[in-house]
Amino acid sequence: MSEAHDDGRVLLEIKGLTTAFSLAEGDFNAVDNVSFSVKEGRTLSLVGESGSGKSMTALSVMGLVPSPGKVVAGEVLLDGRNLLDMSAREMRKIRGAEISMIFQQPTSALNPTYRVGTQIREVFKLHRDWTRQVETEKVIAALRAVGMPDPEARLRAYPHELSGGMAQRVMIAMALACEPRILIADEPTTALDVTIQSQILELIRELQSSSDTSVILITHDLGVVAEMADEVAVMYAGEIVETTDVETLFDEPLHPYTKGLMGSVPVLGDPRPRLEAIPGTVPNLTELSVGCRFASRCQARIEAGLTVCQTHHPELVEVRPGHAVRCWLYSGQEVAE
Amino acid sequence: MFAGREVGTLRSMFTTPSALVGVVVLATVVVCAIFADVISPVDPAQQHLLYRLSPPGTVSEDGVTFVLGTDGLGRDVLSGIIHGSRVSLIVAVTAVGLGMLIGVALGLVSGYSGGWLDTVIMRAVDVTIVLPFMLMALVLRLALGPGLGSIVIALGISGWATHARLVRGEVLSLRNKEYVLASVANGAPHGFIMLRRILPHVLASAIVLASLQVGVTIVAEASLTFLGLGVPPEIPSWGQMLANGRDYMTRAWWVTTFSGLAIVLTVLALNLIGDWLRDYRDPRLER
Amino acid sequence: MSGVIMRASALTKEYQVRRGALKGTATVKAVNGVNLDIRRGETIGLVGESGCGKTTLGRMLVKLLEPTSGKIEFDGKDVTNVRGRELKEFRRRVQIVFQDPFSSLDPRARIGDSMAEPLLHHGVGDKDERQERVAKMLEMVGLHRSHATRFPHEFSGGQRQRIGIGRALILRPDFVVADEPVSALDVSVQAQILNLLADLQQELSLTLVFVAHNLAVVEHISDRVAVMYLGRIVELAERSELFSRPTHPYTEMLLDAVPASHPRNRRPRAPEASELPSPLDPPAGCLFHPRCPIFEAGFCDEVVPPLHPPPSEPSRLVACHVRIREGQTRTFDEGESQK
Repeated sequence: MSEAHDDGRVLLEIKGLTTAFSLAEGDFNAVDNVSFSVKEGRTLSLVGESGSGKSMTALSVMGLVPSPGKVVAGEVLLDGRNLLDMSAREMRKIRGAEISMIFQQPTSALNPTYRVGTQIREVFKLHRDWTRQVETEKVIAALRAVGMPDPEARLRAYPHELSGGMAQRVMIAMALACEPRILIADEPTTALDVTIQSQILELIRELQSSSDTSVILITHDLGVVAEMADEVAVMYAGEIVETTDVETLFDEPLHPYTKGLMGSVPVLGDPRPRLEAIPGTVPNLTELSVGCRFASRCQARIEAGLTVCQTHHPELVEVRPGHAVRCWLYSGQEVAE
Repeated sequence: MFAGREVGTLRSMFTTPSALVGVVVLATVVVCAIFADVISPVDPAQQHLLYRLSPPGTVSEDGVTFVLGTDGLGRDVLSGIIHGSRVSLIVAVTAVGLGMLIGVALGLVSGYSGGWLDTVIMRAVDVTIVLPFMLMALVLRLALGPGLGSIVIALGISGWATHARLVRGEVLSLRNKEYVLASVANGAPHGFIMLRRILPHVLASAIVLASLQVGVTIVAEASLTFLGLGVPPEIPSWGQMLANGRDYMTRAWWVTTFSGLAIVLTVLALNLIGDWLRDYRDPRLER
Repeated sequence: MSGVIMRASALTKEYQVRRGALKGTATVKAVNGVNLDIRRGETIGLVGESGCGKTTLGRMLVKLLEPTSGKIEFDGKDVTNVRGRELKEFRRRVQIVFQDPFSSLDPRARIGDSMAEPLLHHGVGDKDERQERVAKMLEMVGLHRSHATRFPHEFSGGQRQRIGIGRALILRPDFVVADEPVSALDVSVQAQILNLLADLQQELSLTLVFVAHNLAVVEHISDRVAVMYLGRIVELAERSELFSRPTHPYTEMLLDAVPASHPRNRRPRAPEASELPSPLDPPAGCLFHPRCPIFEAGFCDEVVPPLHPPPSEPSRLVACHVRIREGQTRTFDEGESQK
């Protein structure tokens, strides 16, 4: 199934993206040498826990890294144009028109003092040259497309009058209003109840297939990944540790962290007497060791008797076509002492 | 642990220039108040009748320099200001301390207990805040009679209401914090919860408010004294000097200017410190 | 040792909510006439979406919230209105673990002091003995005894949740409500805490009420599960029965909504908006009927369904007219076919 799509055209290519922060507690790279590509009409999922750098990767692509953070290296190529070289003015034209983003808290991402219709209209004013009449029609069409019941009336609603699920529909309507080629969805359903999550995920899926939009889906939830992704990049402590297509990832995860994540999540309908917990906690980015960033929590390393993990940083190595992993267990290369 | 936190506080102070200015000015005033007898060039009560209303920098025959000039009775303005800092600080700090004590206690009880007690205390707050501050201080001062103690009470009573309202608001949100609920679930008595789980967290904002109130109170004390209802005339105070200098304002600007400047600088310093305290919160204690 | 340890009867919690500047107030029933028997030594999961009243119910069971009406019995004794010494004794035996490990510990108190607090209030031991109990409890929850002198900000979320669990268990309670204890934690840390809770529950023979919105987590840890919707329990059954054969249409909807566990198990879902009705203006009859795929007009929208066992399954309780009736015909059919 995955091969059939492999010839899909690469729309967005990210190469060696590195975003650095300099804080009182120390300097660190929130995103460290991250590379991946997004194909036309496909969904790439960035999976990780807090501090993995998945959200910061998205903000770096959008050119929205909060101060004092800064993109210090890498390229973000959209159709061969490097977004990182663009001026603030050029980026504003890209955002909303070619790449859009939706966030975890839809209610706080909307301006509470403006009506919903006005906020969607705002997007058209920025990117389209339409009459007010056409704008209104398009706003209603956008709300209808995201399954908003009674869109003509909802135009006049204020964000606080909407439930979380409805607010996320409005956010999606705004994000897709100008038919962007890429939608970045940062934990779009984490704040929503499970029945609403199901509706929103299906909505994204339908809108994507009807418009051939590419989606970068950021989540910590492996269920959402299984449900939505075509390709997956697992992130840990700022870097990608494993990347492959979604079926391979669930069938044959290689990185001990990916395996650990899968073992530590209870699966509905498959109760296990005991979960395989990953010991320890997510590392502090200012205090990373020179070796593998997962080494201190890694059981597989101890079982295999590897010592190189603590002294040398592993590279992301393609162990078979389309499946890369950052782990000494699979690198095959011995380090000369 | 605590050492580390204090180092952080100090570092923050030195990286905030306005706070540093405030601390330096206030420290100078405090030193003046404590060592007034040592620092002031002459006895502030001593009258140099030959040198009445001398401009700043005048040197007398017996070699005394009146750095900031003299007043209508030939008293040294600089020495008066140095000694006057005592009264201003003592009156303001004790009055604000009194107001804070009453206000924090009542605000704590009001917010924690709720119900009719809350209603009664909050209506009392409303009444206190609605009445003009000066008017109330005046009435209280007249009712209590002369003396430093009665000024302290008059000024302190007027300040409690703001504290009570501030503290009550914070208690209302703290009361539903999970660590407070945890104490309830553990069977903690009300006193323990109020004093150990809630009070330490409201104290920080009460102190910020107090530091701002000290400035206001210094002005209020000076105003009362200026009106002849404050500090008795035999004690040197900034308000008194201001009142005395008023008659000669056109001929001898220095008497009112320098005593007024002392008030302005002290209040400004307190406000700078208060602002910094408000902005500076140890982020590690916030979560 | 078996039998019912906690019994809630017609338990209700109402809140007055302002509708708007001129519209006056309205009454919201956060918990609406809940009957629940909790058996000694079991882990019972309370599951439902936001606004279903699971947290309010949990807090009423540990008496952090006063019920508006109804009765709570603990160990055969009515504790609805206990005060003073009796309340203190209740607090010794009934404890709670909170959701947010960042707000459940006083940021200004050393964790040793936070953990020793229950011992202090109940007059257990002298200072040294209390310190020793804290040290032992720290080790029991997987921390080190030297951690007692540190402050909460020095710990990660998972470690703080261990401390919260230790504080709840230090008096050796019989009954613990854990209110979403893992939902604020990183995925890789959740499993540690779930395993710890399960171990401690065994070791200390606790009765555990596990409040959560994550169905897989509830399935993992519970013996029995109660599904709540808009303040009511709509289904209550043994874990395996509830998850393998959900009976209430809302339970079915919840289970269907859970994302696939493997990309091959993806299935199409309904993208149409179907949302919780406003609790200010709850529907008449069955609260679920406006979203229900099997609702029958003139019946479900008029009569409130009671929480009843379907005829064929005495161990399950369901609040659904249609399913109860189907159950009756099904027993009849089965009876026929056996002939």
